[in-house]
Amino acid sequence: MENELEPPLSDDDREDAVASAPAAPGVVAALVVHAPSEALGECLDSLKAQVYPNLQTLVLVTGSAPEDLALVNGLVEARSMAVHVRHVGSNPGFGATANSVARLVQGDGGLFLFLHDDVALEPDAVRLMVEELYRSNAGLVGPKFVEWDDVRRLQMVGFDADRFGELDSAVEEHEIDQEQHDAVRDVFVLPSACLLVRADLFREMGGFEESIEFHGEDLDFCWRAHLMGARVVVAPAARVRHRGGLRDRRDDLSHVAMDARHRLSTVASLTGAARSLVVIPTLIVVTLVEAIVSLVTGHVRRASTEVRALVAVPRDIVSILRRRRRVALLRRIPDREIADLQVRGSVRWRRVVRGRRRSSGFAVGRGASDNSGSREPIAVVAWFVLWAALLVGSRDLIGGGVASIADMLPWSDSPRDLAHSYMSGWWDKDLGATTAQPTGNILLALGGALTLGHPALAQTMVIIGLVAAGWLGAWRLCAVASVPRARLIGTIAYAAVPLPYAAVAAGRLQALIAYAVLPWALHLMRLFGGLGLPRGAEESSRAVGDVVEHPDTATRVRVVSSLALLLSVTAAFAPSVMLIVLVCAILWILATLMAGGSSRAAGLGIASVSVSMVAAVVVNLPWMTRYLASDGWQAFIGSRTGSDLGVWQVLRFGIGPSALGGLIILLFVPALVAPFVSRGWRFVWAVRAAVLIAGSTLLAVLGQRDSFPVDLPEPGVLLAPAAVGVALGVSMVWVVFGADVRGARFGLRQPVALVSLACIPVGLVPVLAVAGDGRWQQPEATFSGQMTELLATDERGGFRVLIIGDERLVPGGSHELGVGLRYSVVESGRLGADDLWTPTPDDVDRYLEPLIEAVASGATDRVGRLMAPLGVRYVVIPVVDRVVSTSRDPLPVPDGLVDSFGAQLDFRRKFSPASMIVFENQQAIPSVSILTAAGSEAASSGGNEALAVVDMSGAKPVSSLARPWKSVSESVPSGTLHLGVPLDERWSAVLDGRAIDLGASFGSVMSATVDEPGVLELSHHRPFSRILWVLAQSMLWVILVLGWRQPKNLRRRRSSRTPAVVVDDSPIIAMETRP
Amino acid sequence: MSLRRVTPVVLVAMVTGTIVYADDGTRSDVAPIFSVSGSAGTPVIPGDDSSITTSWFCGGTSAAGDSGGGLYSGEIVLSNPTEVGVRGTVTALTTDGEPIESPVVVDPRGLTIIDVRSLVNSAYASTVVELDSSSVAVEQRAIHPAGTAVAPCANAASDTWHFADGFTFDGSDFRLILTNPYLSAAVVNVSVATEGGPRTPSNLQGYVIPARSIRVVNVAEAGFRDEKVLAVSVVAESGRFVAAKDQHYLGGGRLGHINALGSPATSSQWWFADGEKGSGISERYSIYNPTDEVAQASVLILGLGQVESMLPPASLSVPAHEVVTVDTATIQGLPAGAHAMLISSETGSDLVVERVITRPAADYVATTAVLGVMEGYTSQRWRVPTSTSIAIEDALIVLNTSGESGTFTVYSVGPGGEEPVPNLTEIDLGPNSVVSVDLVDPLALGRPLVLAGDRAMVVERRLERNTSLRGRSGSLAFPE
Repeated sequence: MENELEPPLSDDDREDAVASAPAAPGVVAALVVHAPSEALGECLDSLKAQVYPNLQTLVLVTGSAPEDLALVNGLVEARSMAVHVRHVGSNPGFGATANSVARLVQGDGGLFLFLHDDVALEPDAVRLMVEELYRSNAGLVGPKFVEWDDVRRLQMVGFDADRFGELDSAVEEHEIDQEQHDAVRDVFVLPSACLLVRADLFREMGGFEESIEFHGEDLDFCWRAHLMGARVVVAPAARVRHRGGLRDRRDDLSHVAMDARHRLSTVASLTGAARSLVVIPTLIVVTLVEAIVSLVTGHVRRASTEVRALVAVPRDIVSILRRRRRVALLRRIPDREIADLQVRGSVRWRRVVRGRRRSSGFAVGRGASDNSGSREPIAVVAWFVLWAALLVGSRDLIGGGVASIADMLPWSDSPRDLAHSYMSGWWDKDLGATTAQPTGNILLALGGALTLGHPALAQTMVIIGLVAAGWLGAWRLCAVASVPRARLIGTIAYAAVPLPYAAVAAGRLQALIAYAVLPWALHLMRLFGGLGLPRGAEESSRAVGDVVEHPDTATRVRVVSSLALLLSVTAAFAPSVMLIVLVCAILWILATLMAGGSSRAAGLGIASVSVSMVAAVVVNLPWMTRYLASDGWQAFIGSRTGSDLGVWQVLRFGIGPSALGGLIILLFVPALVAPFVSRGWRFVWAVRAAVLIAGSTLLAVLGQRDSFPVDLPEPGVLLAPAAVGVALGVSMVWVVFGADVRGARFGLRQPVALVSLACIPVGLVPVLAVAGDGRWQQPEATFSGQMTELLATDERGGFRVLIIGDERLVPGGSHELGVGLRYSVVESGRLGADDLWTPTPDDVDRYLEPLIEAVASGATDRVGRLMAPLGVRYVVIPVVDRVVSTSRDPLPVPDGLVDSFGAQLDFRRKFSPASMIVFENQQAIPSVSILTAAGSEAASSGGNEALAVVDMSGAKPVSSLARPWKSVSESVPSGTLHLGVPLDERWSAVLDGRAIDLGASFGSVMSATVDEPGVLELSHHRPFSRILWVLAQSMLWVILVLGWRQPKNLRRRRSSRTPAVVVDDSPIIAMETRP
Repeated sequence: MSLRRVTPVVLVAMVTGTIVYADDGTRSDVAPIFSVSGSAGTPVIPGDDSSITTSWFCGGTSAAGDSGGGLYSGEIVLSNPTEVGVRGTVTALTTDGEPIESPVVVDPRGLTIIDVRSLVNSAYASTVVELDSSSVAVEQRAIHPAGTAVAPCANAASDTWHFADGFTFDGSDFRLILTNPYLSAAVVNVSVATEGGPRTPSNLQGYVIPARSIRVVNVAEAGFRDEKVLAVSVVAESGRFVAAKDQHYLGGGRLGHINALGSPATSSQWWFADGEKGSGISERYSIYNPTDEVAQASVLILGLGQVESMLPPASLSVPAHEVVTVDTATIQGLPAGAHAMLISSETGSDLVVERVITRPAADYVATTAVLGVMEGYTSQRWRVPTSTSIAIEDALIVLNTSGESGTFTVYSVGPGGEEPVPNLTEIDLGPNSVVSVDLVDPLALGRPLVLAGDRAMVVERRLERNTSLRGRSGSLAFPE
């Protein structure tokens, strides 16, 4: 690979060249050095090799590290160069550092050559530029930039710019230099990496704009030069190699954000007043459109950057006005002439049309960047279609909200109550207890708060957002295909998999979360493992193996923090998905070993998953200890959906009503064909896809057949890896067709690959059909909604509802009762998202479950009285949920369930919708109440036998169920105060300021004797350990978030806080024209 | 193809094979089981230590009090054989008015009798007895001028009740007492089988039994007068209830009064201990098939000693929703005297069988009807809460339902516990034989009795009708 410019001249030749040169104006090369790299040596060599006779070099070393200065001095001494080295001390940015040249160099008769420390000049580059400067009477001259590693490839030959400051390069990416750009021409912007400028002009302009640290100083500088009437010319005969890669060297900077912000502020500062009236509003519109395009193409961060840059303009208004005042003094050319120098229309739009990446003064590092193809017109259109399909398909959900079915239960109306409950340590789920609470509760509270108290909106956004998140994750993951269209087709295939729509229709939240999370998890796993994206010649390489480029430690920390954060949120809502991520990691390493991929990368990937899982467990403590209980595994894997999926349904992802037809299985064809027809790195990825599909499908089938040693999560969760495998496989087939099949010798590969490609569009058809429904076939009337309507209006004091029945129909978190049977306890008949979880079943095991078993065994027909102290007023048996069980095809009600509760003498069958059977317990005691005399006697005597013969009805409710964060304060008559929660010493009762004892009652709950009427106050004392843990937990989450987002900012702040070293500003170089 | 390329292919193929192999193609839409419904059947003493409360549902009696013809009332008899007192509640339900609840205590080894009229004043009343022990036996005495009828109360309500024998001939009074002890109304449909075939009277379809009340249906007035063959099924559309019949025979060869529960279920076997063929005795078995399919019944006469082997079982067909009557007088070769009967179905659990026997009593006759013992309810231990207060012969009829000989002993339950009754110990009981027990020893009179043997048995009682009427009133004892 050619990586050298013209060979350096020998010392004799150079001296001859210098001697024969005409009178030469003095040139001071100002080399700005930051964190010297190996490129600096070549840069110095190239300066030493210059044939220009009057060249002096000034090295400006930024940063406070003394070793940097020593290193630079060492390099200079090693080359015996007469170079002035100055240590700037801090790192105020390129422009500000370069401006010190104006102070360190005396004389206006010469030229300044500004250089980055990663450019290497051809020996005659300076001479050619100086000559061109004089020949063209230019103020600024720049060279032709070629790539550092391959000088045949062009990098930059100056830039055009539109009126919005967007740069446009005439050079295509990796374009071969065939002298096609070798004509001298005026350009609007020259890169600051190598820029020759007249010293007097530089001084008059005031140098670079110092408020611009990096990115955009060249646009500002050149624009101002134009304003002063100076020509800005590129001299392609002068050639320099440029490494670039500032993004990699300064990963502490938000490059995109800086670029956008500086560009906007420059436009706002330098555009003439009259033209600003048009340009600025247009700029706002264009930026917003750009943000939207970025958003729909999955670049959320970029969209955010665009918007933030726009928002920053008003914030920088003072600085902008100051710059405008300075510029006004310099302006010699009318603004309309400047406009003539700029490109008409929008460079962005032209770039989109041409399908090119954004031009920049910085070469794009190879690394694991995956922006390829994001701005291809077809990608933009495809993303618009996908978003439109999602919005159209979800239109009724957006308008009317998500139906509360299965696990998709409505979010709490009061995020505040959720937060209070979380902080208090008291959880009123089941019978209520001071216990660990799911982290999901506080996350729900935060989600509700973010929508300003519109939980239904938050829920809808999350549900639909999870689908979109899955698509975006697939988009990121499929970047491994390297071919933009392959990436796109993989993403579309992922979107075509009916899993998320069936999950929405069936209320399977865990499956939806798995769909959303898995591609992201695999993407992050890939990044951590260092599986890079093939570029250039690697794209068509046939050598089996992965493209590996291990990221640096900082990147790894960021990636693993992202993965940990992802898994932490996932674990809070769907812990079983964590398990599937681990399974995928194992399948991943298995596939890698089989296919000859990088085992180190795979090992690192699984290590990242392991570490992230540990972190996820830790930040979800103490809730995670819930899964260590006797029923922990069941709680961990989530509610079961029933063993009723055959292989055919598994293959077509048929977990719910929106499972569509069988055409979707055609998408398996390309994924399974890919390993047979692929070569090189594509083979490894194709095998990964196939193994993901095979392993996932196998688990789903075994799980359905109960053929696995342990219970497995629901099939929707198990099938998510298959969906990812389909996306990857489809991507690979597309790549393989271009790289390994097309143009190869005719064989079996061609027809097989063609057939598999033909399967793709057919497999995509079904998803379009289901989008027409508007709610992904989610039922409008639901069991839990009807139950809430029927029961939640009961205002006879606090009460609980026992939901019991077929495990496929009991919504939310529940406790296992027997084979195929589950039950849950819901406060006030109002199912909410916080009912997704159940606490450790200690209390229900002890107090409630024996009573249910007594009903089943016929041991009593007075269970209403026995359940009365626990406040169970209703028993609800779900019959039809309109998903698993419909009115046309209802699931049978568990044998003996209705009869057994119907045989209870305390229960009245309540008129109810056909979706449920409701029994009302006429003996129920309100959760906080004053008992009747008979009740008081029974409360103290205890024992079920005694309780069963006492009429418990007639207790007077005091208030609704006590809230630990709201002191219940109410006038009560004398009698026995009943508190329908298990004995808990943290509850206390105060009557008229006097504490009264809350003791055990009915052998299960609490009561206190109110000896005279008064004002009663009930309160719950929050354990101090809870406060400590919430603080610790918050810190852990913040650390994760910082690991994901903040280290960059922290480093920036740290560097900005570094005190500048006071340097000597006195001149050290005098420029003169050498005769 | 390299090994590396083959390996994943083989793996995927193996997985695919496993998937296909694992697919048995069946759907598991089988309902899970919450509870195996306690088979509603012959009233039994559960004696379940794990029970928290035990409820007894009595069929209901007239509670009109003194009327023109005599006293119409009822009593609830609670017998506690344990050494621990039992507490509970008796709830009286009537056709109108609120239920009346009253606490009840049964002393250790004690017998408590509750006069229904002490609780309510109503034409008819039913009672529900709830106790904190499952060892107490509860039965009902229906006091009627035509004779007192004793019948066990039911262990549970049911959504179905069948009566194989009804009689409205010659003005006989046949009423159904439908009791709904629950808080929700029950809606029932009544279907009737007569000699003319099955009928579903429209006025008794969707018939509502309000919550915690009773309804009395006069079958004759419902359009079934002068029927000699009358079987009734009462099936709930919603809810559960208890059904009993109050039958006053006034002619047509039958006289007397019976009050007994219906059968809450069909069965494939029906055992009867107290059969008798003789001069002036009419013994008829009403075999009712309430199902929608034809049933094939087999009639086997037991308790004949050496002769029984000479009487092969007779087989007969019972059409759906119809009644077939077997009159033992027509069975050739059946000798006069006592015998027992097993009527079983060859087509499953689809029969309800009731025996009606009319015996001479002085210058008139006395008719009594008893449901047999259903399959699974034969027992080695039987309880007799109500026996006789006067010495009578043939008070207890015991059938050995097994094919092996054994013995049994009659115990009297007194303050000291169970005491064997003199001369009633270790009584031989031959294979499938019937033994009648005379209760003449003072120790056995007026006390609850227990019959304990070493073979499965069926025990029937022949109790006095009342102090002024001759003849006996038959009823089953309680299997334990």
